[in-house]
Amino acid sequence: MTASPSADAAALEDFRTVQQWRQSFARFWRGGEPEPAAFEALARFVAVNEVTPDEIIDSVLRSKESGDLMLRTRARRKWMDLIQEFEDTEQSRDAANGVRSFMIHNGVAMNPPILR
Amino acid sequence: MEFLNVIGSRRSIRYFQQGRAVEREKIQTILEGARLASRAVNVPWAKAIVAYRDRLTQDEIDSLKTPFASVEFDLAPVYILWYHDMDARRVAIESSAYPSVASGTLQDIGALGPPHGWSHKYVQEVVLPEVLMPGLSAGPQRGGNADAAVAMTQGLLCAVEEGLGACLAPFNEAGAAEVFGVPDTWEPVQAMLVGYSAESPQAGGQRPRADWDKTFFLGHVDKPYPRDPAVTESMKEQGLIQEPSPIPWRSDEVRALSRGFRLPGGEPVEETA
Amino acid sequence: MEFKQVVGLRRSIRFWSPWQPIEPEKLQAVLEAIHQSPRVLEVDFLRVAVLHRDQMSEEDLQAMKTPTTTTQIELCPTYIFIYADLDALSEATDGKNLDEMLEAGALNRSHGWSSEFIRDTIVPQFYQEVLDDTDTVAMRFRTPDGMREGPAYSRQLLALGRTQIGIAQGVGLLAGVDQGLGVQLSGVGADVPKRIMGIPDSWITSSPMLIGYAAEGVEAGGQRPREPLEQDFHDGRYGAPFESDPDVVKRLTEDGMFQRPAPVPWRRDELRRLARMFGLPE
Ligand SMILES: Cc1cc2nc3c(=O)[nH]c(=O)nc-3n(C[C@H](O)[C@H](O)[C@H](O)COP(=O)(O)O)c2cc1C
Ligand SMILES: Cc1cc2nc3c(=O)[nH]c(=O)nc-3n(C[C@H](O)[C@H](O)[C@H](O)COP(=O)(O)O)c2cc1C
Repeated sequence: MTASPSADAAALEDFRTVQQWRQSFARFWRGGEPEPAAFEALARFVAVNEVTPDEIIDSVLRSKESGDLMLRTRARRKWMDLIQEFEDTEQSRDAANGVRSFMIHNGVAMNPPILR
Repeated sequence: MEFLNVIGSRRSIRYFQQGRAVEREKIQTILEGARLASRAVNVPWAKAIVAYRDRLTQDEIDSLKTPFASVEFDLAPVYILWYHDMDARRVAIESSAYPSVASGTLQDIGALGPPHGWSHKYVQEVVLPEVLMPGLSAGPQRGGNADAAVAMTQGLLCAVEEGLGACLAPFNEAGAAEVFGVPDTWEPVQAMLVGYSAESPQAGGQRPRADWDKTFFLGHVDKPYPRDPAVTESMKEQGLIQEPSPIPWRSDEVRALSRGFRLPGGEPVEETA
Repeated sequence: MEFKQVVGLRRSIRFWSPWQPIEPEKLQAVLEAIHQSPRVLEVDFLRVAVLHRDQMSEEDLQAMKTPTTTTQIELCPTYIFIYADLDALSEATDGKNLDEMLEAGALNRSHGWSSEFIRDTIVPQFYQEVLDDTDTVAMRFRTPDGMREGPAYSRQLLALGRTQIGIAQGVGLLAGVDQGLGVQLSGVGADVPKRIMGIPDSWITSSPMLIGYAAEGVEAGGQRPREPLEQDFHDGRYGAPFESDPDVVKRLTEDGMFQRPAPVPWRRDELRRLARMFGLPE
């Protein structure tokens, strides 16, 4: 696994969507929190893509009033592809699944291809 | 009873023993079986009213009949009238009255979760607005509901397994609404007429079915599903496929039944010298 | 398997072993059971089409996913689509199926049935009325160029068709469990199977039955909850709840129809390990 030098998992803590991730994760899994490696993966992912966690989620769920499903579908697709790219670059399904877990607990479904 | 044998031994029963009541526990078993059926978003689309013939007047009984089924209502001691609750989805969403997807139950119990992309926020942000709510503002819509029939079918099979005879049949909607006070948000599915069968277990043999080749397909509608005769043979051994109707003595049985019930068709056959 | 065990053990399975195909004899056994399900008003509505995942392109598999059916599509090796051909009712107006029932000794003179009754009463007063009912709904189909309108059918006819679909689904699900398979009904994009299999516009459908070997334990986390019996069923008239007798519940529990409720204590562990096995997120 290639750790990006700019990754700073601790800096993510203040983001609303990261807190949501923690809460929802603990609710579903009956306690606990995502692995430290998952936070680090998210930190690298946002760094590579030059966005904040909140910006990622807002870009997918923002159009609630307009109900613009197409836009949201397209935005989700974009992030799915970027996460897949991230998986390929890092050569780590676990790292990518850390990011996917963040997306899922924020209400954005992710379905990576099955490892057979 | 073995599952395949239940399916294979089921017949639509149209003659019921008189004077023999159906035990309440057997009726509850039918209802419990129906309630355990699979149902979209875990909402109880299937509703039912259990009616007892002997507590109804003849006029009330007659008001339930249709051209398709009339004498059956006179002969069966119990009717379970199955409905599709057209309002169930709204109730599930607005009052969380059921352990449905809308109330988050399926995630709480770990039936669905993050491995499938689901979270509580996903239910709120996507499943509710995009799957559960669309069309709700149009109010209750007729047109049937397969899930209500899935439940009814599980109930029907439970009746067979409990040793009861049963037949599905349409019933008069307006008559039933009047007699039982059914809400207009319930759309009829079918009546299940239940009692102890007065027919032999074969009830004349297994009834005709549509051609296999016109019913089952593999990958394309031009390609009938290949039916392996060896498997069909094994289905016979396991009691799923039984002797086809009419078995040779069926007409005698029907005549005797008709005579017993004082129904037309019970007259002795004229001997032709 | 004992019938009540089958009913009790049925769960909506959502993890399958994607590498394990179903033996042809088991799949046929499920179809044979469906073939014996009750037939709605002697109309041959029923159509069943089997599609194997591995015969589909990656693109089609992805297109079949919906918000509520996701990973299942890839995990499950086989889908059984159950349809009702609504044109079957006009075909039944020749009365031939009903004639067959007279010959079978199933419909008898004692109950008013005769060839004349079929032609003078049933066909015109029942079949034809359903066909002629003007309260109709037009079918709509998704195509690559947007939505396309198809034929319109009366709501009564739709209801009969959907009843037949549900009857076959009910039998099919249980038959799958009886064969030791994991089953689930799950909503998919119906336009994909329609295109691939050449499904005519007159065939309506519901959610297909996903079927294969379950990768979750047979309990799949325990029996899923239901509302109290009294909420669904009425005794004698609407508004009088059908009270559940605890002795019956006890007996049905002994017989295996009621099983340990979800979630069993280790369910989270099971899910986590399934997720890791297939490379799915937590
Ligand atoms: C929805 C439905 C409605 C039915 N309505 C009637 C009916 O009105 N009168 C009747 O005699 N049989 C009725 N039947 C029973 C069918 O005639 C029967 O299922 C079919 O002939 C196959 O026979 P079997 O059920 O004995 O296998 C109905 C069946 C279904 C599924
Ligand atoms: C018509 C139908 C469609 C369904 N669609 C889905 C679906 O899209 N996704 C899903 O996860 N479950 C689906 N289900 C399964 C139900 O959620 C499930 O039956 C219900 O929660 C009860 O759980 P049980 O089947 O394990 O008893 C569907 C069930 C039916 C009958």
